[in-house]
Amino acid sequence: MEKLYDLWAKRNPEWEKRFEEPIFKTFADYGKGNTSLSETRGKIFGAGYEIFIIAFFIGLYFDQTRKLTDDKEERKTCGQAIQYWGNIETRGIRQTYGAIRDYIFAALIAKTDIDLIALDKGDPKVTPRKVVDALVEKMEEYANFGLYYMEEQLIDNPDYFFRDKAFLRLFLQFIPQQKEEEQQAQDSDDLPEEL
Amino acid sequence: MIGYKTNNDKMLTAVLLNQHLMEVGGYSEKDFTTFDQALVSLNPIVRTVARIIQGHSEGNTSKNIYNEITDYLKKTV
Amino acid sequence: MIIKNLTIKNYRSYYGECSFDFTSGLTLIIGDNGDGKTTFFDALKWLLDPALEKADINNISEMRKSELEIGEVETVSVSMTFDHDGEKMIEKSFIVERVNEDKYITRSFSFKGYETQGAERFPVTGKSLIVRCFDSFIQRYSMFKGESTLNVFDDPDALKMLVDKLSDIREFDEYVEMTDEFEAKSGTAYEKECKNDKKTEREAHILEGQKTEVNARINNTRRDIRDTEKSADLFASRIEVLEKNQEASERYQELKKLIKAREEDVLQWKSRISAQNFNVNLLDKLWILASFSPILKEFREKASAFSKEKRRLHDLFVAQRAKEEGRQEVLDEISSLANGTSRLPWYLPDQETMQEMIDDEICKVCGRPAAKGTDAYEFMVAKLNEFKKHLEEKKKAQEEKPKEEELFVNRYIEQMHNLSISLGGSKAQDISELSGTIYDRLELLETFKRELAKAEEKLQDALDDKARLLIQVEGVTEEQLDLDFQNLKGFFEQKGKAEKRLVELREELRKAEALKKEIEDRYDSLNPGSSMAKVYQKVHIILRNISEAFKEAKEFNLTRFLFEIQTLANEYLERLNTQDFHGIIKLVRTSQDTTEIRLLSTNGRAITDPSGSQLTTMYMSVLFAISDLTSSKRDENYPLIFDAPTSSFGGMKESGFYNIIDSIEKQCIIVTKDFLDDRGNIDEAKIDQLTCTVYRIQKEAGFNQDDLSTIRTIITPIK
Repeated sequence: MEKLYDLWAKRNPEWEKRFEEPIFKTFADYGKGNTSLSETRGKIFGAGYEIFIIAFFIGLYFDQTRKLTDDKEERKTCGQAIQYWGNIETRGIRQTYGAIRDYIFAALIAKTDIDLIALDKGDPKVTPRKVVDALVEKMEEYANFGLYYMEEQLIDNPDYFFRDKAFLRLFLQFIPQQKEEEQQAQDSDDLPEEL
Repeated sequence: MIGYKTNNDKMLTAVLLNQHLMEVGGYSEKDFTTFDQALVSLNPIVRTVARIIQGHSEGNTSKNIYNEITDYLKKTV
Repeated sequence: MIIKNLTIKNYRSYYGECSFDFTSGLTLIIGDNGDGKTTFFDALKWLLDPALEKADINNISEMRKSELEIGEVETVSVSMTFDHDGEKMIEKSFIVERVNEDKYITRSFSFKGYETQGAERFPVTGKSLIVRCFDSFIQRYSMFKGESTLNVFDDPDALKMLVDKLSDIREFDEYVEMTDEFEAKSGTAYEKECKNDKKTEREAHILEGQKTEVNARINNTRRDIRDTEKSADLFASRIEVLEKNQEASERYQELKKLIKAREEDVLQWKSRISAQNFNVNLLDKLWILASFSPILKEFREKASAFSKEKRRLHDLFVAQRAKEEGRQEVLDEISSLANGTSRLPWYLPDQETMQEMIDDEICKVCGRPAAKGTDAYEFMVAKLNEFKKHLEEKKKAQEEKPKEEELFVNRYIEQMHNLSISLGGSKAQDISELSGTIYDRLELLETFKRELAKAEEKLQDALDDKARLLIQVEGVTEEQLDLDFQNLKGFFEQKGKAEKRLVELREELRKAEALKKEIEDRYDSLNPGSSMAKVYQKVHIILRNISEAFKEAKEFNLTRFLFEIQTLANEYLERLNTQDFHGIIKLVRTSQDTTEIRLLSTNGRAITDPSGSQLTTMYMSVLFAISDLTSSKRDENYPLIFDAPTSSFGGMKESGFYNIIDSIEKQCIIVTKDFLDDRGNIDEAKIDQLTCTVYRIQKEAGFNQDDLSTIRTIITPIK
């Protein structure tokens, strides 16, 4: 019996084609070989899926989804299946971060409405395939929200994501303040042990 | 009258008082008491020196002065 | 001549009208570098130089210029009132007008003055006043700006001018030149005659040849000497520049190293900063999970909930099944009893025993024989088969049961559970600590940025220092400062070589000239046959002697003149030397045209490295002596205006020194740094001791070094 995780990792989630130019090609080395206006700037990220991951987490942390268009023509996938994500050959400064797949999967399990009991019971209405479909759909919809969100920011301010540490700052805003204080308190508690 | 000594006077004296020149020229201090006197002195050296000084202070060219004194010397010597 | 007043208006750093009043004795003007001392001299020079007849916009005070409104005009002028056979005044001025925002024009240049006769004033042109009262000779020997101008005999032209103006007899040079010419001409004429004369022709030819050769040699050697002297001078002056700038040069090298080190620092910080790639760290360092903890919790809770639920259901199911199984067994029991076949009670033998009993044909329970074919035997067999059948059925049923009786067929929830475990513990801890890590990193970046800013500031400081250093050594480029320092040794060598060569050349010249004399003597001793030749010979001899007499007279005149100055100078030296130092000034001829002023100690030894104060005293003595001679010649006194070199008198000697000068009957105006302490404040105690007039000039406080319009010189009469 194949693991649910592995079934999911074989998939290649889709996104709306309209984001290809303004987002994927702008911020990542997606579709190399094509000329585009954004080529003059050094790209922030490498493979296209990296932007997908960023967009996914935006949706996840806002906890908002957006359905993808039904039109199959308007959908594209990243070049690689999920199982390869984060396995960059270390080109100079980048590092591998395959562990992130586990967390994405965990988040999807948490947020998707799936009946694992029925699945384990072997209910013919709830196949592993169907469960993975639901997970991937959730994944795509989170990412889709994220992509819309990014697009809106860029319309308001075309320079938004090019500013120093723009992406980091975006995610820092999700960190709750008490958490930060807790963290600092925790860190200072840690210190004596380290010493 | 000793009076005022022009530059010419002083120059004349300074040159003619040269020991060696005196020997060669065969003259003494008495022979050039004034400048004007020196100009017409019978001693060729005294006269030549005076003429040189006079000629220059009058503004003659050195060529003219040269010719004047050499003509004179050739005749006298 | 006595200068009574100098007024400088809007000239360079002298904003507005600045006036100096002078007495007939000494006036001291005290100022530090940059306070306006140099400008004081420049103003005087500008006024007195008849060749400077144009208005120059660069001369107006920047401060005044910056104040001008559009359309406003201002006058720039320097004027001097003096007594010279009656009161006279001279003024040079021009007008500056602001035309528009950026444009200024100058106009109305004027150079005029007046003189008084009796009670009346007559206007007169500036130029004519200068020519009559303050001609170039007087200026040369009255005004001394900077140390280099003090050695008045260093310049052959200056010495010549001095001799001409002040010695007993003028114009020796021209006479010497002329009589030399006569000698040469008559000599040539004579030699020509000798060549034509049968008796002397052959020897005359030989001599002519030799004379030509030796003359050529003399000329070449003289030319070589001149060139080599120039070379030596060049090296000497470059060495001087280098030595003067040695300190600066060393400092430059220091700064160069420092700048390089600081540049590297800056680069290091820059690279540290650029190495922080915060966007990429979202993925590479999983920073994107900084706020993931609640979601992780959600997942773990969900996984846990599923697990619990699954177990609960399973337990329920098992319990149910157990119940079911129990009932079934009872039912079976009952049903088998109902069929009539009795079950063997538990205490009865098992399958093996039964088989045994059958084989043995005996019932081991009751002990009665059960032979084959008997009812008992058949009964046992039937029972055994029944038992076997029963077992088989049970076995079959057992085999069939799990397939249709398990509740859960998949283990996906276990997978979730495992995942939950693997993401818990230290991993969950790591995630919750991420935000702390991120903020630490951000703070670190800020620290790096601060350090970079500091490093850049320090670098800029060093670069500023370097710029200031280069300004100080005006006239020397940065490259020169860098390279020449390394060339110093080379220059010394070159200079040494040149000097050695000079010695050789001079010896050669001497020999050649001696040879020439020999040849001339031989000429003289020729005994020509023709009378013409004899006449020329005599003429030549006379002219030669006259020429030499002029030379000697000139030499004598110069020597006497220098001796006169020397004697006078030593009289002044005696007066000026207040304390322990006693020495003698000697004027030494260094070549045909130049003379050096040297200081000897009383035992006749040269003082090779005189101190600042000794030098000052020495030069001033000579200059006073010259001034005396000038006065007696022209029957008129002239003031001495000095930019004093660092006198380094130390202690109370300064006041004593200046008081003596004040007592000398000459007008002196001395601009000096003396009497200022390290912070640039006047030393009141020392000033009190002075008998003369004192002014202080200094830049007004609150100026900006880089903005000329904030600079102005303030004059303060002190005494």
